Amino acid sequence: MKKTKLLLLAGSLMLTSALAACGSNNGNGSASSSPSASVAESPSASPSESASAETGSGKPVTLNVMTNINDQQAKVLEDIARAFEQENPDINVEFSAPGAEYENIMKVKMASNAMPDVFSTHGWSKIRYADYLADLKDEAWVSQIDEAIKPAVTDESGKVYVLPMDQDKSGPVYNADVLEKFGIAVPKTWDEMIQAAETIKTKSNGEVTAFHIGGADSWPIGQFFDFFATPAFISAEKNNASQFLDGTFDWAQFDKLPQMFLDMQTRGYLNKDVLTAKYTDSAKAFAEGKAAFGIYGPYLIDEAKKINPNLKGGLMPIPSIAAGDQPTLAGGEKSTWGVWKDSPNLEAAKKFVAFYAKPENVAKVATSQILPPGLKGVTIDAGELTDDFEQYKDLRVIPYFDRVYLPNGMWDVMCKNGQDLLAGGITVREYSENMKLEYERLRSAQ
Amino acid sequence: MSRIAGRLLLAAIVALHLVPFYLLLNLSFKPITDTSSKWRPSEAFSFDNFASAWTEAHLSRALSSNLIITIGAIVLVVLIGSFAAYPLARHRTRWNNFIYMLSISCLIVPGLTILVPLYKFMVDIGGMNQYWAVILVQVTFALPLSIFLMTGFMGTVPKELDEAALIDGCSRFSIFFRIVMPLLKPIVATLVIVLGVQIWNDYQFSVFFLQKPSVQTIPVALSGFITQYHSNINWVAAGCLIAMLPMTLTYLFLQKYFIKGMADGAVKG
Amino acid sequence: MPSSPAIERTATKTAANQGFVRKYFQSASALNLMYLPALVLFGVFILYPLAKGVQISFTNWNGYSQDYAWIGWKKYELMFQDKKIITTFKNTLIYGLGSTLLQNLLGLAYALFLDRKIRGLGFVRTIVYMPVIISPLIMGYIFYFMFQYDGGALNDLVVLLGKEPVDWLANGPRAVWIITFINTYQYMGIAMIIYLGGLQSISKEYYEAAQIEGAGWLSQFANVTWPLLAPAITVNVVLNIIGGLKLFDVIVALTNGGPGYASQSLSTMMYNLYFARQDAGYAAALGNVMFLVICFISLFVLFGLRRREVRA
Repeated sequence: MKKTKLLLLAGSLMLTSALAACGSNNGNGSASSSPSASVAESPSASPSESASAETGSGKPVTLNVMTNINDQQAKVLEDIARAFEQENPDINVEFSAPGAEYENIMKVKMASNAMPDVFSTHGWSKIRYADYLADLKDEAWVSQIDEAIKPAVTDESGKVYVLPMDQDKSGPVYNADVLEKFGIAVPKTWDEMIQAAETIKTKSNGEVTAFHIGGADSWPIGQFFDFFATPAFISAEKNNASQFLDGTFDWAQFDKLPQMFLDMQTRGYLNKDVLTAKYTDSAKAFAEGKAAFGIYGPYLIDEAKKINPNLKGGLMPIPSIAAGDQPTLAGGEKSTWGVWKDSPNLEAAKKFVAFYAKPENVAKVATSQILPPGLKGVTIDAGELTDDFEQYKDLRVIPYFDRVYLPNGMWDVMCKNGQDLLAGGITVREYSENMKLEYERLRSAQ
Repeated sequence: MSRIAGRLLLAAIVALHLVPFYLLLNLSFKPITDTSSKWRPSEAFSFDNFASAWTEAHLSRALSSNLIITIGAIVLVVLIGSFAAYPLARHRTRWNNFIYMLSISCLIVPGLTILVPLYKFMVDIGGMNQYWAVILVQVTFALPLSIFLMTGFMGTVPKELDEAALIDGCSRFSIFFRIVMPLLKPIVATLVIVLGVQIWNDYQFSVFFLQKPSVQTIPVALSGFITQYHSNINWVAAGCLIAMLPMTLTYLFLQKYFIKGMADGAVKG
Repeated sequence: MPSSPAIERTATKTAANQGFVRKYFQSASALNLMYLPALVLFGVFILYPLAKGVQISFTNWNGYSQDYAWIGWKKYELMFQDKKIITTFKNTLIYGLGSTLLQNLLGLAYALFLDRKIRGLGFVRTIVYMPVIISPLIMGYIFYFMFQYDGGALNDLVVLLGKEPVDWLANGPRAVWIITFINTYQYMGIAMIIYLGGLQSISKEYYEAAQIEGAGWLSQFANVTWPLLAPAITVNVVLNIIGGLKLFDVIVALTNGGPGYASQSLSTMMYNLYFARQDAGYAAALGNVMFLVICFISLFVLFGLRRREVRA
């Protein structure tokens, strides 16, 4: 009973709409006004909606701001953005921190030439993002840029690519309690580090892992190669730096680095699940004292402290390999703001960046990253790492290997082949061969 | 005897299927500092993770984005899909067979090969961060399945019904609206359930097209909790449970129509 | 048109048009107008970008810069030199065909088992269906916690039984099957529901007739259930094949295609090439090949099964 009534109702509704459609068809005799026409037309309805208002004072402006940074550090950035809005009521900030997909989103945006007004460059301002960044050389804060970070964010012609709020000074980290427990001093050379690993392995009966690597995420493997390529090929007096740059490097020489990595595994210095553990597992093992070293930067300590707030972690320089060489730190940009050169809100964007260059804001950002500030005259409290930074302040800071000596795009090859190497899929020789192939492909494409 | 065995088997099946949900639920109640076995129930039975996920990911806002996009897209998918399916099911010419195959091929197109051109196109038409644009994209990608299922279903609606109406002087279009459409209820329930979930959970497209925080959907909002150096999987677990709720309710509400209705439609045929 | 100067002529023409139009709308082919909206959407949002994607496959584009060079078929040739491509194709087929087989066997078994009017079965059906509602990415994370070596839920049980923990995902082929299993677990609910619908559409009279003839359970299944379930089978098989061959999220969350490249599918390989390796040309070439392969397999299966339906 009820059902038929419903059917009738529905039917009559349908009929009226069908009749309505008929009516319009009779009207102009054209077929295109089928019920769906409105749908098909709508894509072209508002082509110019996305453009923001011009920057003239008084008119409200919306800035699109994007960063790869997330979690607590992103909150610090966003809070500063809100303070900026308070001070500039006519500028509206749309702050987004998309997380893991950031780099891919930016690539798609570059391809479409539709960048955010302000964005972070996570180490790639001069290489990947160079063509999209406005020159910031006329900004007031430029004179304040710390000498150490200057080469990473400026070039010979004087172009300033981004505002560096902090600077990366990175090396492996260690769990201080674990080292103390086994009576190990922070290693300065590769041999000392391997010695330490052996001690930890035997003394702990394999309970404590010397190096925990979250290999399933693949980038932690790349981190090993990126760190240790520096002492292996760059930092020593006799080095291959220029050969990497001019393309004459003999890749047979590269074998020693994957060999070092493989040896760590065969000797049992790596976690058993190196192929299936993730970065978060590294943080957990590190927090629980089940791992002595992390071949990551200080961020590992930060992440591990979420799990174990009492953790005592320390930063160490990258041990040297060649005799007579000294340890180094890996350096480069970390938290930055760049301005899109075609931004319709160029002035507002620069104003936004300048706001972050204020000493108190630089301090906030650098503190959240536990890294030295990128501008002079700012001091921060790096917590327990303060001593480390003080102790290593005279060490050489060498840029991350892949950012300077490899063509852009090699990172993944380094990571994935490392995985394959540990899984027994390829040999040390094949590792170098695969690197060579990709190195040559990417160089020729440039 | 066999009834008891059947009951036991049933209980075993249910238990087995619930294991991942137990792990998820447990994760969502545990604080990040709790690294005990995944099986051990959380001692601090707190809703902190839910509260954090809710506020940090702005889930109330994301929830409304999800609703707008999913409902908008589903309505269009059902309408446009049933329109398209009718001639394909009723008027089987060679050309229409080709159209049918073309529609199914669209189901197969790998999202990534078209991502960048699609993105460029979206920028050009001003569709970035716009609900209508994302809805249209979602509709387009849900349409092939809709057409596939609708065409199959309409095949079970007897042609004699149409022919009788045609003789009565109904136009072919009014046959569709007055006779065929009301019969589609069960397949519509199926589409709402299957495609609704797909659109609701979509990450691949949403993450690229909805970057503005105010229009972000839940999967995009939650993805901010996971990056290279930091992750908050406990929050993600909690957020995921929140995100599941509306879809679960929809399913519970529609499942009767879904199964029974499907049967009804076919029996009549 | 109506605004032309010769109003009268236009009027008569319109009348003639109207007649023609009316006739057209009465013809069966007028119905074809109804798929126009769908075609427009496909054209704009799929076919046009797809054509652009084909263009990209003939370049050495890195995926983001403004310049690139045309290099012809090179990226397609590259596929034949790629050592990983065989494993990747094999994995993709396992993901696709393996989960199709499992989902249909289990889905049908569950449907047969749960197709009774007993209280509580609705609850069981809901439980089996629930995983569909979770996003596959999250599902991958959950199962990572299940299979991880250190502190994984499964290894906790293994240790409880006094055995050595196993690094489940470290072995490539095993990881592939674990992923296939997860995909099956997640989506068998849909197969089950579609089969339930199919089962309930079979009129009881057929079974009664078979019983009168003294047919046992097995022959009832073979002679009544199986042939009449044909449409449900077609729908399920085609959906599962396409879904399985395109599998992406679970792989990313669980193994990221690793160890090395051992569990990667065409989808994850393409993603990796596009973004991480910055070889958009190769990624696009691979995508086009993948598209053709899946099209071929699924249309072949679809028409094969449709023919079976007709015969049944």
